[in-house]
Amino acid sequence: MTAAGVAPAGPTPGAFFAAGAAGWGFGGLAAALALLPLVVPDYQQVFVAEILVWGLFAMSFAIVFGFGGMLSFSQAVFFGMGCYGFNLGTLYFGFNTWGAVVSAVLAAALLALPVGYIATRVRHHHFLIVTVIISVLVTTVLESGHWRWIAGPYVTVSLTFVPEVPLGFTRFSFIDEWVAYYFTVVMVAAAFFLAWRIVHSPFGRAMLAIKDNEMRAQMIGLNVNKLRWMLFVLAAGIAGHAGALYALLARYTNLEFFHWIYSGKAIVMAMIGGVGSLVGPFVGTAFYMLSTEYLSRYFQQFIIVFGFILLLVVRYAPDGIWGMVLRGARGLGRHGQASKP
Amino acid sequence: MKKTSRRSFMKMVLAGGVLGQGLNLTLARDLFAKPTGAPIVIGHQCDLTGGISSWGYWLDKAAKAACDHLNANNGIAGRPVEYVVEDTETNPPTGARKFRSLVQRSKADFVIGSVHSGVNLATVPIAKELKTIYIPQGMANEMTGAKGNRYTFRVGSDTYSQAAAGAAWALKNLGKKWSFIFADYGWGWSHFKEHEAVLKGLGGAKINAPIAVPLDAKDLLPYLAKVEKDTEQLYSIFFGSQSVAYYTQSKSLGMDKRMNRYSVLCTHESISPKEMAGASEGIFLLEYHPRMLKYKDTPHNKKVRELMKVDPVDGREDGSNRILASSHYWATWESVFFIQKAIEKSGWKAKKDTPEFIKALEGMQVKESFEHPQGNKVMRAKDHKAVIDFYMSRIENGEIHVKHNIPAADVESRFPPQFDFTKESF
Repeated sequence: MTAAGVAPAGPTPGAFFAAGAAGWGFGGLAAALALLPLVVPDYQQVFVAEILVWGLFAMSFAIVFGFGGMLSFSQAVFFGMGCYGFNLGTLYFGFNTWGAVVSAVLAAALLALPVGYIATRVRHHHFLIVTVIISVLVTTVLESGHWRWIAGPYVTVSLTFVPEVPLGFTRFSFIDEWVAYYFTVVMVAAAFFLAWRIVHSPFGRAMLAIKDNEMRAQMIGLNVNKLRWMLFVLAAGIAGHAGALYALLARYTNLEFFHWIYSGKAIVMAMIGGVGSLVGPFVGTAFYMLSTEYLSRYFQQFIIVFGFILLLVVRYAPDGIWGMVLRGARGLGRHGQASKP
Repeated sequence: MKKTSRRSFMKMVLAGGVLGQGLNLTLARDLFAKPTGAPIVIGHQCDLTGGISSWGYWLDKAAKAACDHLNANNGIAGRPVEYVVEDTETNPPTGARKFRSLVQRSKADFVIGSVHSGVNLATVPIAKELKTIYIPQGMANEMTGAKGNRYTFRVGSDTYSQAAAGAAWALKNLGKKWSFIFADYGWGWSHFKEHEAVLKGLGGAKINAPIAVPLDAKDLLPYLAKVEKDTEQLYSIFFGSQSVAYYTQSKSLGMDKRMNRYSVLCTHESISPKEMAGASEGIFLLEYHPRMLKYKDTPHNKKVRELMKVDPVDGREDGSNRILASSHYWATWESVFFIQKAIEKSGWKAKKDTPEFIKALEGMQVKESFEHPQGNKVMRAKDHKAVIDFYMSRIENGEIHVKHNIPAADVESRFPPQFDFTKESF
């Protein structure tokens, strides 16, 4: 599988065209996101922000699976660790919003170090089983009253204050929906840009090589286990970042965020959009959340309708909605070139 | 004296008739007056799908029936009531989002909350930020406790009041040596801790080490084997299929013969004992409103149950197999009328008047009536919890029979407020 977001190697005219199109695309998207609060009411602003947060979480799965070939069911553990780290930073250490977000990313990445060290040394379904076991183990320990001292009061938390974003000379309060919206957009965009740079770096290319043919990658001198481990930790940090953004947006975190069912949700959202790119998970998340949001207003058993839609997507767009869009765009491009004299 | 002629008599009759008809029409207009003006929007963040949907169905039905009743009787302060419901999917993030949707999209002035504590805890901070009255139906003490705020009120019960209501009677009548077995998560531990505190206060109880069962355990025998031999009463907290597994497996081990089994009705809500094949026979249950009509056979309660279209014994709905969520449905019904009373008392006109509404609701006393069929109650000003009547019941011959009434006044003595929200600014 080739990542749709990864340009072909070498500066070919096609690459310049693709880079230009991507640049225009991202520019347009940035402008749309910037202007959105002017045209949509406050509820929709928070809803779009939430889509971006869950989209970031789904993107963390797409990184480990789409670029590393690792079907991870432990992403929810790192999302939950992000929430836990955020609460610990805010309530125990008294950090401001920036500090709490950093502590969330660190908490998730630190847990991912030992977990990833074990998990990335096994392959295929063994990897999946290890991540499920880790997920179950962590949730069991945290939800058990016998081990409550580990979770402390920092797992299931309702914030009793409204978060603020300090910007040196001034502070912005999350009580205004537009502050929550723009903060989330900027933070998600930063994580997306970082991930974009990484998957386009030599490290990202190496990961794709490993995914395509691990033995060949090993023979050209790549340290496969180490690179897989690094990618796993990176994706965990992004999931933790999403956890912190969710805690800020919702003022609430819950033990169930650690549960592998939430990993399953990330997988479904990423698969709908397409795991071969960084954009696909956001498209899938938007599709998933908009469908369930509006279907649930009209059909009590909306999940059946959604299941049917999902089957159609899987049948007719196996590389996800975004993959289908890209295929369509490429087809149009080829058609245009062929019709030129 | 002027003699009444036939002509003047006919004139008088005609005039009287016209006047009477006019009066009649005026009366009829008043009787069937339609509420006018902008509607007051009552939102319901309801669990229509997911794990607690069997309860959500009844909570929705009761709240909708209450709003329909108000609209048929001149609305609230002459204004119509618009009822808007959104499904939480029994999921905290979705539930919190649906609360925002109710307030910001549907412009709900007041919101009746989910019966899922996780959804409630996710919503409580947003309710304060959006300055919207929130009446959650979940059982966690925290919503009107450590994590509560001035915008959140509780009409039903919580783990704190349940322990305060049931522990004293159970200690006296079911035995002094207690064992606790429960699902290993917040709800189970909350029951254990609240009971432990109340029993310590009462004195004379021996409490064995708690037995926490993992949430996904289907085979409870290893855990039931840990129950101490000297146990006189076994308090259990499980939900859904695990609750059925507990009843069945503890019965098959003969524990029902060796000790009293005791729990809260939540573990048997919307389930008929007849469908348990005798597994829950003999168990004591703390009810918050009797399942059987005969134990609260008041005209008011009867009328509300008629609106729910359920039979008087099992609470089974006409034409379906749904069993009334008897200990919970009344709370959404009463929530609507608490809102009505506080609006009328405070003169609330729009969202900006919410602080006056809160002051009116704090300390409000209501009498048993059609609007409040569960009984007299006080909405305590300090902790925003209603103090309500409870019932100690027992399953006998597949029916839930009340054995002892626990009036609100008895409960209150062991249920002092732990927080004072009246000091919190709006």
